[in-house]
Amino acid sequence: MITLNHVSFGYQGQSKQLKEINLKIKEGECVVITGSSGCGKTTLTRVMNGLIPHFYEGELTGNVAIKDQDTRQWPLWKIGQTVGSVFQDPKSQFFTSIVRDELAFGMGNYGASLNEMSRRLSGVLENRSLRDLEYRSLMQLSSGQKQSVAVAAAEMVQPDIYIMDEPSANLDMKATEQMRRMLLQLKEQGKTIVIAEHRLYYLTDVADRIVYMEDGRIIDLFTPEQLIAFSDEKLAELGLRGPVLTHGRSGRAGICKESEQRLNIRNLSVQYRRAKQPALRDVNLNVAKGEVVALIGKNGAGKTTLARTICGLIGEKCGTIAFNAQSVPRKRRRQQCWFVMQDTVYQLFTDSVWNEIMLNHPVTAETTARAELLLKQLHLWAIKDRHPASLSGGQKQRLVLGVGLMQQTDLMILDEPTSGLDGKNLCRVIDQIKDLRARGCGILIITHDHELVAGACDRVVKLRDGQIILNKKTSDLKLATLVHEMTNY
Amino acid sequence: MNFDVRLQFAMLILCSILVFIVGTTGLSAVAVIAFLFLLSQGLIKQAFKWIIIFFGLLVCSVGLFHAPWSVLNYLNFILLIILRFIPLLMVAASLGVLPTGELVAGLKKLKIPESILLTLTVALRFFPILMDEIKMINDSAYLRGLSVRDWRNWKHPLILFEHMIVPLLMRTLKLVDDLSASASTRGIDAPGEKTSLYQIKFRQFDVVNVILIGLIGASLFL
Repeated sequence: MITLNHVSFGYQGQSKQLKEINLKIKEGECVVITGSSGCGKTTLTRVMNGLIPHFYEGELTGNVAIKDQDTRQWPLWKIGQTVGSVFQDPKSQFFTSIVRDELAFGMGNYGASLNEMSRRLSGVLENRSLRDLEYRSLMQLSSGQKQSVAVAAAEMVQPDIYIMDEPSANLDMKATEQMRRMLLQLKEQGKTIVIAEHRLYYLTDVADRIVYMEDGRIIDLFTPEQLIAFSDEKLAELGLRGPVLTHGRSGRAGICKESEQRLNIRNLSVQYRRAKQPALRDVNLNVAKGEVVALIGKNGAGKTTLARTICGLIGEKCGTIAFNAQSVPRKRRRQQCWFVMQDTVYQLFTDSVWNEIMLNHPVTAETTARAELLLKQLHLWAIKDRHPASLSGGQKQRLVLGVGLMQQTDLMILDEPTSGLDGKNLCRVIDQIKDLRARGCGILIITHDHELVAGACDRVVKLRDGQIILNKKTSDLKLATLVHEMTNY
Repeated sequence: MNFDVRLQFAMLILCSILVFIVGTTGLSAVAVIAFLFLLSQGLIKQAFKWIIIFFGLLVCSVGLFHAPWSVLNYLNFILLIILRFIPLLMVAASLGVLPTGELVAGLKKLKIPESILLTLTVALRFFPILMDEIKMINDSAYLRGLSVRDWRNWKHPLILFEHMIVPLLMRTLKLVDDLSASASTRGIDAPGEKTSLYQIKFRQFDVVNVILIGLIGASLFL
């Protein structure tokens, strides 16, 4: 179905991203491409859906054939009829305002008849259980629903091949499970599927082969059975995430014994204007010095609302929020805590790493010395003159952390710090969190990532409909129980 | 149920000319017709919201007209301009709730060239995203004490502007790139006629809109 022969590629003006790739994918096969960030996975998917060489310019050598036809000779729109693509961020793949328009968009571009369009539309809506969402605005859907729509939109054109680039990066565990079922169904229909992914656990019964890449080359090929049999050391060496949910990193050893409280929340309720139901109801939560608390629950359960209220971005209806046992009014809260967003791009405002860390701080011997120390500790000193936008994802995240540390905040809130990260970078984030803990910060992490919770968090707090329904030490939870709590809301 | 997109556009164009040439009585008539226009399409909340704003401002403006101070007269001038835009916003509000697919299908029927439609499709898609992005940036600016809501930051307006525009540009560049990549995998530049789920046809219900257009034209003589 897809044949790659000695394929090498480098984006314009950059070094080679793919080196001598040879790969044959048979009809009906499901191939997962994995490897650490920057190994060339995404580039490889772009070669297969024709975006390279038609959209992204650069030097492509070797042969890429889809159904025995060279992609170079095929216009991109025509490849689109055979190859359906699903991307990581649903935000950047929708073109219309409501679900049914979005599904019809591709077919409309190819000039399908109204009859054919409505026929397939109702089939796909039924099959993907999107019937209830047909007239809903895309902006209002949860990320899981958005990704279902993205897959359904690709299905409408009835391609034989599906190419997906980290489709689960923004999904929680329940939506990931849904994604797995969708993939299984596509596979049953005999479709050829190629997925670039970091999360492997949901793909072990879908994949036929797993391609492991490193530095633009295919280093290894293994079957899901082989992957599951890998020891933890082997996985760590390859920098992969755990392929099974039943064992893996678990039971954090160092349980927080501090009694000094960083954050106390008492009877907090929050209600949005014009909302019938309160977003948070009577929430009580403590975070001790050096304690890491995971905040879990489905989208819309109130995790983000809680975090935003703590920072003072939202006002509370009633209740108190206290830092270091002192109640702090909304306007002054942002000085006492720091919020690291999922997408750190929003949080960088200046033109160099150094200016970023010094922003809002007067230049004195004391602040410069502190900033220098921080940058060195965060391994950012060597790149202190670079533009923040030119940094890698991990470096940006460390820089944003550094900005918070510079403010000497008592509480750090991290929103999905490990979404879309490979195993190696996941470990780095875990180390980073341990370091924060050693500094005596209280840490609150909003996450869907069970490996992060198991690897770094002292306590798990689960929200449902704005209320805390579970508040337990991680060491008291078995990994299977934890996974169960994170998959079922 | 909404009116034929073509008629809605006719309404909008006619309205945008009229609001600048009719007198105050005529303007009130145009606003009332725009109110009926929204009401007949079931946009009841929007209709009442706008008509209340319109007549509220109208009363203010009449009150100000009789005020003896000249400063207030200047204020009144601004108010009058705002007042004239309200009927336009009312008609546009009805176009705003249309699914983009229907809007594009309607414009296509009006023989608008494909390249303009394509730009419109992406632009329509992009505005809500942009608003979302700005909100995110505002939030993170607030957390760092760089918010536009804090008056102290207005002492350095250029820096304030820079702090807004730098992250916005970074995000926009990436989003635009991703959006166009995704569009091209979905056949956006396929040659040949594009089709739509929506059939733009003149229905019986649309007669109401024709009558409203007639009425709005008649307000010229008020």
